[in-house]
Amino acid sequence: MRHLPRLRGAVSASLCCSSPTSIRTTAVAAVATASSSTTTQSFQRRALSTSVVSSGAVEIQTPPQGLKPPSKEWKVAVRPDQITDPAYVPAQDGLELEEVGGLDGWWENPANYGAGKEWVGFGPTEKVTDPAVLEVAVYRALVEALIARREMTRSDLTVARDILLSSGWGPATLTITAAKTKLIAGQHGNLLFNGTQEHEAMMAALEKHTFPAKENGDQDTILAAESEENLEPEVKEEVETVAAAEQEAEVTEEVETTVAQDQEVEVKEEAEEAVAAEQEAEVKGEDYLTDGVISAEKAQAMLKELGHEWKRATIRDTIFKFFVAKRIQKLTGHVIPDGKLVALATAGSLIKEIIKPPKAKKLAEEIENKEIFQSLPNVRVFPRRVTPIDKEKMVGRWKVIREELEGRGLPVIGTANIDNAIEKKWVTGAE
Amino acid sequence: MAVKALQAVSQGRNGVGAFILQCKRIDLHYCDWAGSSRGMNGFIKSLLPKFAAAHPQIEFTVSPRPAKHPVAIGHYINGRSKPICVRNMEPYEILKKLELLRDASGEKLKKVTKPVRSINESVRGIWSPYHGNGMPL
Repeated sequence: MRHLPRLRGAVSASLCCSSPTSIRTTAVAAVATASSSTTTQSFQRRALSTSVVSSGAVEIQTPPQGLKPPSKEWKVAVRPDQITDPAYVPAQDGLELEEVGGLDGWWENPANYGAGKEWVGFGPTEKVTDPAVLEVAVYRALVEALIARREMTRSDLTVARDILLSSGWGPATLTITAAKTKLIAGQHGNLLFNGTQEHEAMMAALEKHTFPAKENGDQDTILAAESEENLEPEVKEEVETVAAAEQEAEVTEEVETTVAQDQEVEVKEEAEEAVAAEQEAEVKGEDYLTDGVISAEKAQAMLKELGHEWKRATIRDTIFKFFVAKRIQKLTGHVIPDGKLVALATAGSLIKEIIKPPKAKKLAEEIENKEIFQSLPNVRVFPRRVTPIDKEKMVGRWKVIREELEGRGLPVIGTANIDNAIEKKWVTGAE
Repeated sequence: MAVKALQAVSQGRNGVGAFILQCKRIDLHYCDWAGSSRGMNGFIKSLLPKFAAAHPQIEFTVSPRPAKHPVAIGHYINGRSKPICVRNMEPYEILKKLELLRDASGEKLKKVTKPVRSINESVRGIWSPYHGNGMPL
């Protein structure tokens, strides 16, 4: 047991400061005497409480702005002897009390189910494995991320957000338009669009296919619709009025945007071109316009047109790389870890990272894949355990052994259910 | 009576004319799952290619042995074999063991009491310049 030294009298301030182990004891003693200097008193208060030591003047504490203090009105429960309800029976213990809330009937409540309640992952559950499709996906991700980065410079960030968070491949038109958007390595090797107007067609295609889809079949909309069903009538009316006001605001915004679009004639022309290109593609064949992941053959045809220059372009901006990684995850299901993403500096390295074959599970497979011992005639690698039968086969003895065993009526492989302990039976005489 | 020469069968003296390595084969066994084989798996991938290329006269066989510790077994031309368990060893430690297997003769280990071993031992012992009277020139 630890012994604390007892103090008989008042302790000087110098002792308080010099020996931190005896702070508590000295402070108590000093308070009792109350004959010390002002510095000592302030230290004593500090030693006895955790509050900040004030300089002497009493400060009136006002609640910070934005915080609503609790109301001072108290609701007092009616005393049991003053209750007039004849049906009231006071509970004698906790089990007799009425249960409020809890999980009773949770599983039976239909409001807890539905499409909006199901967990939806960020990317697809099945990864794309075809190298050509992956390469096209990286190209499309780069195009979309470049557009998103341009949009991030504006005050309205919803467009950039919708591009980055839009679901996977969508209509095939998006992939076709992205493949037609030419990317080049700039003067310093950085990734750029070929011209200042190069991205307009892709932007128009995104506006047509991505954003309306987002508004119509959005997860938030489903959730909102489901939650509205469970609301009370009064609240529902309020929600409806708010929604109507929002719709009006949206309509006015749309009118404004259409006015702005009228002014931007060039943009409109580009959009018309994109629509025309889409119609041309439709004429070529329906197979080419199948939604979702494109086929490997189509991807290879696209890659021939894309060339290889864009793979050498550098991407050093961390935020841009993050955009690209998120789009790649949405399109292919491949997650690029942050640690590796920092080290990836070119578009080609991004492709290499996700095309990389999965790690071999067995050493023999890895040796075979890497062809480590291919040039060495004195090394043999077996994919499975070398059994005694394998060893006999290697020297050509197994055929002879098999014939001998069969000739004597003995099992070739295994023990044929012959008990090991037959000698024990002979000794004991048991049946 | 004519003098007859003593008949003797010539004895092999390895290294006098040509040197034949006594180790003819080394088997390497590993396990894909067990942690004690981690060093062995790394050795097979990283160091064995160079070692095997430096010793073309030795045959190497690599095969898994699931749920067992890793082993290197040397087979010698006298018919004997020498197994060494290399569990939990690092790749460079395993390389040392393979050098041991390569340099071994395959004979049973014997206690060496004399400093010089020869099949043609001298009756007079080893000459020493520090003993005897010496020879004035």
